[in-house]
Order: sequence, then C-alpha cells, then structure tokens
Amino acid sequence: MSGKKTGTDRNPSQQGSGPSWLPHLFLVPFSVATLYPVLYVVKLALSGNDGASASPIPTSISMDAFATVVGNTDSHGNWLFGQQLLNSLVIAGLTTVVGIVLACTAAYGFARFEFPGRRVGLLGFLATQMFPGILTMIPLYVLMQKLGLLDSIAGLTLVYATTSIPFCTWTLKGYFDTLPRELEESAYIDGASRLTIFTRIILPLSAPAIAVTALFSFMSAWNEFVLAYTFLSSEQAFTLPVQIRNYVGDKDVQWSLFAASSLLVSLPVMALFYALEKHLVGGLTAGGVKG
Amino acid sequence: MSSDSPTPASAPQAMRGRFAVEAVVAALAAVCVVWLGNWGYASLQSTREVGHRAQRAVAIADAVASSAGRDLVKPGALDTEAKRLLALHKPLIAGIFVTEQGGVDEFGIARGARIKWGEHGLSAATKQAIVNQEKGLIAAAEQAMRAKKRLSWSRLITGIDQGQALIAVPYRKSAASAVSGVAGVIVRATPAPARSPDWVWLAPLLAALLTFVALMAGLHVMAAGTIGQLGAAAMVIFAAPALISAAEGGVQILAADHLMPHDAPPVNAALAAAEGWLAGSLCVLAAVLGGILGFCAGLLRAIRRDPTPYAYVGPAMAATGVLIFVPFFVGVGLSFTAVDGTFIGIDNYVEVIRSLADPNSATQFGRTLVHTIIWTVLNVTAHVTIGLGLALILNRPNLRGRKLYRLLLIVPWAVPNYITALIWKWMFNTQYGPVNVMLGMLGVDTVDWLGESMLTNFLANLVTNIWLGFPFMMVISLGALQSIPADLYEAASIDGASGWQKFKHITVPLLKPALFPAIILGTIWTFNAFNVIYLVSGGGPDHQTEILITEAYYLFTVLRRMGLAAAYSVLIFVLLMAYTLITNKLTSATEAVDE
Amino acid sequence: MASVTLAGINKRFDDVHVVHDLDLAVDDGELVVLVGPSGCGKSTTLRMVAGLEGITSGELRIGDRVVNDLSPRDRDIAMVFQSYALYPHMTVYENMAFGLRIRKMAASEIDSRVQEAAKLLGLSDLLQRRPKALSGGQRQRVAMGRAVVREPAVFLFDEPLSNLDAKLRVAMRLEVARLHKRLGATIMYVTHDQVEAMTLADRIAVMSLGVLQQCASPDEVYRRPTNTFVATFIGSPAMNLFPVTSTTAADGQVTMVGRGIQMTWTSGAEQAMPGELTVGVRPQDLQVVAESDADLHLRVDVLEPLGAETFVYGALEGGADGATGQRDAATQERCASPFIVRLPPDQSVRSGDLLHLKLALPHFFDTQGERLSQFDD
Repeated sequence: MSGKKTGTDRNPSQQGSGPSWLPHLFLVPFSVATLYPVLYVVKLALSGNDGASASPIPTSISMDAFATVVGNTDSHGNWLFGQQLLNSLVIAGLTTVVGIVLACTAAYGFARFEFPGRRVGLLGFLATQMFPGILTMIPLYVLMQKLGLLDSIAGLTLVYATTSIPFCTWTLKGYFDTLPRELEESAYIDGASRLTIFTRIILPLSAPAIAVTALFSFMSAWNEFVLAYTFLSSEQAFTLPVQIRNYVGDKDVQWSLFAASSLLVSLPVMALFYALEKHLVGGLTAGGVKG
Repeated sequence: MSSDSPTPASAPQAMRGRFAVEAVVAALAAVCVVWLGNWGYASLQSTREVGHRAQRAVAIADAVASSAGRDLVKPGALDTEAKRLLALHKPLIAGIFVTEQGGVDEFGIARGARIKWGEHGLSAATKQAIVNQEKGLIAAAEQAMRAKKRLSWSRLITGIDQGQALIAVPYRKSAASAVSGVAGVIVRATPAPARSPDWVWLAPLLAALLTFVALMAGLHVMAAGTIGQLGAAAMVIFAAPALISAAEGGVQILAADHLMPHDAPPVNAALAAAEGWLAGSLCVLAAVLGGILGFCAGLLRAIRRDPTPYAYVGPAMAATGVLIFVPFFVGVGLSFTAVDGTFIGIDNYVEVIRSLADPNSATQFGRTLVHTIIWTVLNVTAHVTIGLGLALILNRPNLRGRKLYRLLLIVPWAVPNYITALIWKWMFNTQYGPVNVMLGMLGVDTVDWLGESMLTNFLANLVTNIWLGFPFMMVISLGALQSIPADLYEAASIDGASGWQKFKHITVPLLKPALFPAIILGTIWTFNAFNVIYLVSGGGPDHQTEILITEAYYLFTVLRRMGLAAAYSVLIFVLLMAYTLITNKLTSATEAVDE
Repeated sequence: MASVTLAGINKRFDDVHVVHDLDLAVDDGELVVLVGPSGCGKSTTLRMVAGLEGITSGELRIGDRVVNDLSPRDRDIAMVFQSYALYPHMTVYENMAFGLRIRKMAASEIDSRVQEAAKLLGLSDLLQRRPKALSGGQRQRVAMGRAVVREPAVFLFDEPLSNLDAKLRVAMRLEVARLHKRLGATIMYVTHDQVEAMTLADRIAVMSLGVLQQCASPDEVYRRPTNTFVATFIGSPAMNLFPVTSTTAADGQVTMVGRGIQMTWTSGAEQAMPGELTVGVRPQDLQVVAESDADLHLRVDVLEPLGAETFVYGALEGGADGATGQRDAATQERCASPFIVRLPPDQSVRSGDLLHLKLALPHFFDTQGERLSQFDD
C-alpha cells in the first residue's frame, strides 16, 4: 500500500453518525456467533459430552479425550496417532517442497519469457482451478489403483503436489511480475547468467512471497479431506482429517474425541492462517484471479 | 538477439498475423472434423440398430424353426407359438411362415405345405417375391437332402426390397433326420441406415488434406492467435470421442461379420454405412494424428529455437499435464462409457437429460441443479451481504476494538472447513446439539434437524456454509474499502454529496473491481461445497439436499456409475466455465492474461 | 576505453520501425548525449548498444569488435538505469561488488576497487547500508559506483537523473561531469532534458521519430540547427518560426513578406533565396524598435515577468498575408505555436499592445524544414 492516506485513518465513507455503541450492537452478536461453535468444541474436548447444555464454558477439565486421541492404537498395538500425524506431516511437507520447486521455476518462466505456448499454459493453469475435483478423481483413482498407489502416502502426495502447482504458479507469477525488470537487466549487464539471476536476485528477493505460498500449500494439503477419504482405506495410511471424520462415523459417534482431535489438528494451521492471512488475501485477489 | 536476453522476444506478435490464415483453415478443418464425427456417430447408431434387429430376427427365426421341428406333429402348438412371437415382435417382423417338405414327386418338385401367419401390410409383389424365395429355398433343401449332403448354410438371410429381409432356417424333425422344411420370418423394413455419401472415395484425399492442415495448424498452434488455438482445441475435443467411435465401429463391423455366414448376402445398407463410417473415421484419425504430430513438431521447433523458457516451465507443465490434464480428459472420456467401460456415446448425457422429465429416475439432475443454484445464490447473497455489512461497520472511523473484532470475525475462515462442517453437524445434533438446547430454552420443541425433513437439512447446510463463507467476503471488502483514498470522500463532501450518495457513487464503484473476482471465486467454491453437504446433511433425506458435486460423488462411490458421475462433473465444469466467462465478459472484473 | 560505432542500425518491433538507419560514432573518451522527445528511439538505441535489445539490421562496433551478436556480459559495458536497479537485498558494498564477484575476481581486488569507487563518489560511510536506507541522490551514486568498479570500456546512462528532484538533478549533473573528467571514460548518455544535454555533452545527438536529426557540439546544435525540429527542440524558450514569401532583387536585397512581417535581408550568398521559406529567430534576438524600422508586428497576449527578463507571448499581426506555399506538416505546426520575445525587465508592455520588433541572427529553412545553410552568416 502506498504512502498516500487511505480510509483507515479517517475515512468519512460512513460518517460517524449515530451513537458510538451502535456498531457494537452488530459486531458483538456476530463475534459471538463465530466464536460460539469453536468454544463449544473446546468444551467438548475438555468436559466431554455432558448432556444437553447451551453453555460453551467447560464444566470440568479433563485431558482424557486428548489422551485417548493421542494414544490411539490399532489392534496390533501400533501407535496409530503417531503414524497418522507422520502421514499428514510427510504428505503436506513433500507436497509443499515439490509444489514450490516446480511452481517457482514455472512462475519465473511465465513472468519473464515470451514464448510460444505461454498463453495456452497460463490459461490452462487457470482452467485447472475450475476442474471439478470429482472428474479428475475418478481417473486418478483408477490410475493409482493400476500403479498400486491407492492406499499410500506416495500416491496422495503426488496428487496434492500437482494440484497445488497451478495456484502457486499464479500467485508467484503475480509477485515476479512486480519485480522491476531493470534489476535483471542490470545483473545481466554485470555478467550474470540467467540461472544466476534466478537464484541470486529473484529467489532472495521473493523469499517472503515464496514462504507465504509454501505455507499456504502446506495448509491446503494438511486440511484436504475428500481425496484422502476416497483414496485411503487402511488406518495405517490415514491422514488426520480422515481419522477425525471416523470419530464421528455413521456407526460410532464419539464427539469428545472428535473435538479433541480437531483442536490438535486445527490449532497449528489456525495459527499459521492468522500469521499469513494478510498475504493470503493479496495472493488470492492479485495473483489468483487478476494475474 | 541472444536467446537468454531478459527482454522477451517480440516474435510471437509478429507471427500472429502471419498465421491468421492457418488459424482460419484450422478452424474450418475443425468444423469438418466435427461434422464427420457427428455423421460417423449417427452411422454407428444406425449400424448398431440394424445389427441389433438382425440379431433379434435371427433369434426369432431360430425359435420358429425349433418349434416347427418339435411341434409339426401338433400343428396347434406351432400355431400358438408363432402367433405369440408375432404379437410380441410386431414392429420387427411382418410375418412368419413354415414350409413343410411334403416329399418330392417324381418330377422332383417340392409339394410342401405352406403355413403362414401375419404378412399384413406387404404388397402383392413382395408376397410373390417371398413365395419365390421360399420355393428356391425348399428346392435347395431338397437337393441337398437327395444328394445326402449337408446344407452349406444353417441360416439364410436375403434382402427382399426396401430393407425387408427374409430369414430362413431349415429344420429337422429329429437329430437324425434330414431337412424337413424351412421356417422363416419376414423382417420389417429397418430404419434406413445412414448411407455413405457418394463421395466416399474422396475420403483418403480428404484425410490427406486434413492431415496436412492439421499438421500446419499444429505446427503453429502455439504461435497462432486465439482462433487457431480454439480450432485446435475443438479438433481434439470433438475428434477424441469420434475416434473412440471409430474403434467401436470396427468392432461392430467385425461382430456383424461374425454373425452372418460368409456366403450369405450381406445386409447391404449396414455395410454401406460401415464403409462410409470407416471413411469418416479415417479422416478423423488423420486429423488427430496430424494435429498431434504438428503440435509436437511445433513445440520441438520452439524448444530448439530457444529452450530456456521451456526448461523453466516444462517440469511443472509435465506434472500438471500427467496428473491433472490427462485425468481430466480421461474423465471426459469416461463420461461416454457405460458401467462396464464400453463406449456408449452420449447416452449418459441423454440419461441426465431424460431424468429432467422423469421423477422416478435414479439420477435427479434437474432437481439437484435447481437445488444447487438456489443453494449457491442464497449462500453468496448472504456472504456478500453479511461480509460487506460487517466491513462497512468495521471501516467506521474511530471504531474501538476494530483489530479484535476483525480477529474474531475471521475465525470461521481459519478453521479447516471439514472440521467446520463436523462441528455444525454436532451443533444440529437432535439430542445434545446446542441449537436444539437453545431453542428449547425459548420453548421450541426439539427439532430433528438432520432427520426426515428436507427443509431442516437444507437450513443446517445453509447456516454452516454461511458461517464459514462470510469472513472471506468481509476481508476482501474491508481491504478494498481501506484502499479507497480518503480525499475522494473529502472531495465528494465538498461537492455536497450525502452519505448515501458517497456510498453509491464512490464506495460501490471502487469496491467492484475487488468484489467481483471474489464473488466469482465464492460462487465456484459454494457451487462445489462438497465438504459441507457431504458431512452435514450427507445429501439427505433421500438425496433431497444433494448438490451436483455430492450427487456425482454418490454416483461414483456408491452406485459405481463412473460414466454417469463423469458426465455430471463435465456438466458442472461447463456450467462453471460458462458462468465465469459470461460474468467476466459482463464485468471485465478480471484482467486478461496479457498484461 | 573504447569507441562505439553504430553503422546503419535499424530496429523494428513487429511493424513499428523504431530506429531508422542510425549512423553514429562515439569517440574514445567522448561523452555523447542522445536527446529527443519520448518515443524518439533514444532509449532503444542505448539498449541496443547494451545488448538488451536485438539489432534488426546494421553493424554495432565497440572498439574494433563487432558486437551485434555478443551478449551484454561480453561487451564490456556498464549501464546506469533510470530506476537505479539496485538489488534491494544486498548492501551498497554487495551491490557494487556483484558484477565483479560474478566474474570471479579476487576478493582483494574487488575490495580495493569498491573502496576506491566509494571514495570517488563519497559513499565510503554508506557501504554497509541497504538501498532502502539511502536517499535518492545516494542511490544514484551507488548506481554509478556499480558501473565505475567494473571499469568498462563504455558507460551507458539511461536517463539517470530523471527520478531526482530539480535541485538534486543539478548537483548530480555536476557529479556526472566530474566523473567523466576524472575517468576520461567513453559515455553514451540518454536524456530528454535539453539542459542536461547542453551542459554535459561533448556532442549532442538529437533524435526524433527514430531518425538522427543532428549530431554536433552543443554550440553547433544551438547555433546551426539542421532543421526546424532541432531548432525548436534545443533552446528554451523555443525558437520562433514563421513562414514568409521572398523576392530577391537584382542587388541581392531580399524582401520577405508574411503575416505581420515585412523585412529585407542582404544575402551574402551567390544563389537567390527560394520564393517560399520558413524563418526562425530565437526570442532573445528580437528587440523593440520604432514602427518604421520594424520587421515584425506582434500583438501581445500574455506576459511572463521572470525578474531578470520578461517573456512576451503573442501572435504576429498585420501586413500582407504572404507565404501561402505548402510546407511540411511538422514545420507548419511549429509555425503555429505562440510567438515569444524576450525583453529586458523594465519594459512597460501590457497585454493587447502591438509591439514593433527588429530581428537579428535569423535562421532560414526551406519548405521541407531543412536548414538553408548557404545563407548562414
């Protein structure tokens, strides 16, 4: 944002008409509404399902649900929670690394070169964002089945990483486009090769944008549910979202376990989200849509 | 200029003009291919229909023959059977006859009795032709019998006129006995198969031409303008199903061949159609191959001229190509297949469209589409209204606690949305759910939210999705509001604008560029809000709150109807694509790729 | 150090012909300023020399080497950009050392060069700062320092002072001049500011619409502009142009008549003046005289008193309406702009007055706007 004065400081778009408590009349109920379900989950996790009650305040504090969730083991005594946490971490981590490496180079290519196929490629990447997941899911299911990757981390990583590429590419391209060309021309005249320019000028300059994109891609892999739910069938291979869903499965509903595991899984990504939220909006509107 | 200069070469722009002609030719070729493909498809359908009818007619003739062999002693039984068959297959067969060998007289002339059923609506000439045929058949049978040779045919099919055919089957009274007579059915005129046009012989020529054009178009497709690319894309999209039809057609022809004995007179019309059909397929195949070859050659040429950009873009393109685009096109291909994977053309789409008129159909595309649209409109409206409203309040000057409010209000966005959906499933729990508990405090009876009522299920979904969706709109609106320079409002105040006028003439127009893309994005998300529907109401009761994407998932995972599910997905994609393009055109909200 | 020679250089972007048959030779150690209005092709020319743009046709030599197909790193040049193009993630020191490190120069050599350049430009105290922490002028100096440490054969400056405010621009102009003197470097310098061009250049190359109009010393360009474009582009306020019809008498006396003009001129040349021509006169070469002695009559419109002098704007008025002959469109347009006279400050002239003026040092151009140099004094 430029240095010119903006609406934040003194924006008379809405004249400060009406009493000063008026806005709070709207804001407080909405804030309560957004907070209430989340608080209730905390209560469920700490106090369990203690019968019908509208109060989101824990009636008792017990870590039993957390202990059960974390100590979850299968019939052979394998530590399922550990395995599933590892699955989620490995899948999200690999997805991020693979996706970002490929997206960085591609974004640079799209941002700085004019070549036959550029338009097609960019529009193609944009179009992928509109592909209904189910359509690609069906053939991917068959493909993974053929390759024997159906119930495995590798298969899911492969799928996540590729699906994250188009979004990351657009976001990063949007950022690269804002870097002045003169920087590269100057380095070029100074005798740097294309690769040197990319690694020593562009990448260091884009570190913040790359970090944000990477974390975003980590978050989406960490939170993905449908594909994991469809592709994974053995508890050993589950990611945490699938396990959470299973706590509130059709036969056996354990709300307190659901609540405890949800908190464990979502608190870290919620923290990440709050840290990145400002950049995320910029990326979505500038990089994702506008180009 | 050296290849890795930072300044983009301007060659493609220059090429654009030069290849305009090729682009137009490519588009024309695409039209040709589409037309050929359609014609080929129609031919296939009628070929298949002919074959199908022939198969059934043969089966009927066999039935009559075996009946005649068994029941000749009891003519009454044969009579009943023949009448039953005739009534059952009235549209297919015009008549049934059985000619019994009555022994051969000293002059060698068959004196067989002839029993016939039906034969209504046949001209005298046709009837005469049939009788003549019968005589010939009997004579041939007699001759074979006398010579103690086996007949060289077990069934005989002859055309009579205008597609009416006679199927004759010789029968024996017992396994040991020689031919006792001939049973036959007169097949009614079949629907005229699409005849191959007289210019079939031009097909190879056309194929060669198309190959050349496609090759050229492919070569330059990446440099040619949008028209060329669209032409090429159309070529691929339309040619692919046609190509599948081509393979299918080959199989069909083989099957027909297998069905008919080699020396039998061919079902001419069907073969003619198949012939034209092959010609059409040849053209399509040529065009596709040419296009692919040309595209590869063009790509290679571009890479050889300047490999640097491709080195950067290549890996990501290859990965998305293999794991997104190929599955996508395979998915599109799947939508043309049946449960067992055989190609059935657009039958899945036909089924989808038929379900619009049939309330008992397994799929409820029409109902679900309407529901999805209502769902999307309600949600997006609510998101924008709440989001924008809150943003306007948060943007008030001197508001205390703005940062805290903002922090609290975006909580729903921060929670992973499958967890949100499950939380709300809990909230709406009949027994313990806080919603019911609170309603109970207000004196309202327990509501079985996720039970048998469509309305309560829908409301539960709606509340969940509104809850998780408004923060995005709020954040976007707030960002846009804050980027509006304050001096615009000052200038408007000096010009004498009222608060409402300022909102209308400054805030709204300046919000638009940020809000429209967000609305498009929000619409796409809501249209495909799988997690909410699947995890909250599960589409229930009885699929009434299903949206298209969850219904497709249901078709895929539960009914295992991949083809139909794929057809659904293709329709979703087309709808969303059309929506985006139209909205974009109308608002110009998003900029083109070219900066 | 080396010379730069452009021979028949052309540049086309698609259908747009940006630079036409450009011939220009920059001598060893010379500072040539490329000047012209925006879009005249001067920056493109510089970028072609740098190797950032391809050359459509023609030959470019640096020293004795033809460098058309060499990449910039092999051309032994350094460039200073309008936006400075400092690497934001590197300190001043690293910025200046980058080009040398890329070339794998020994660390000690790099250090001595950077320190020396920093001293030359007064940057010694700023070496550990990031560009963000520098003022505009300091950034400009770092950009120059980055070029200096490379010790290139040719320095290229692309509007290096355009982003500075007026006061700083004057200071940095002097800095560039000093640098040129100290290093004795070959410099090609692009600007749209004619004052910069006049003050810095050994020679000025004036470009318009992709064509080199004139390349000569500042003095020559000012005194003998080759055509009406150069005449009006160089010098501020611009030279006045007006169309006249001339008749040459037997004794060599030429009478020129046009709107508001009635003057005679004694030509030293052998040939007769053409019947239709365009006359140019700089605002300071006019003085107010009695009506009977006057060559021109000006109806005053606006006055601009500047203290030391007063500029008078107006239109020529009265007299016979001659000079109906066809002139090229550009000259026609230049003739139509307001007529300007520079007067001493104490004149009591008011808007609406009719001024009677006598001119000195006229410039004569033909109907195509080309200088009739045979009639120069």
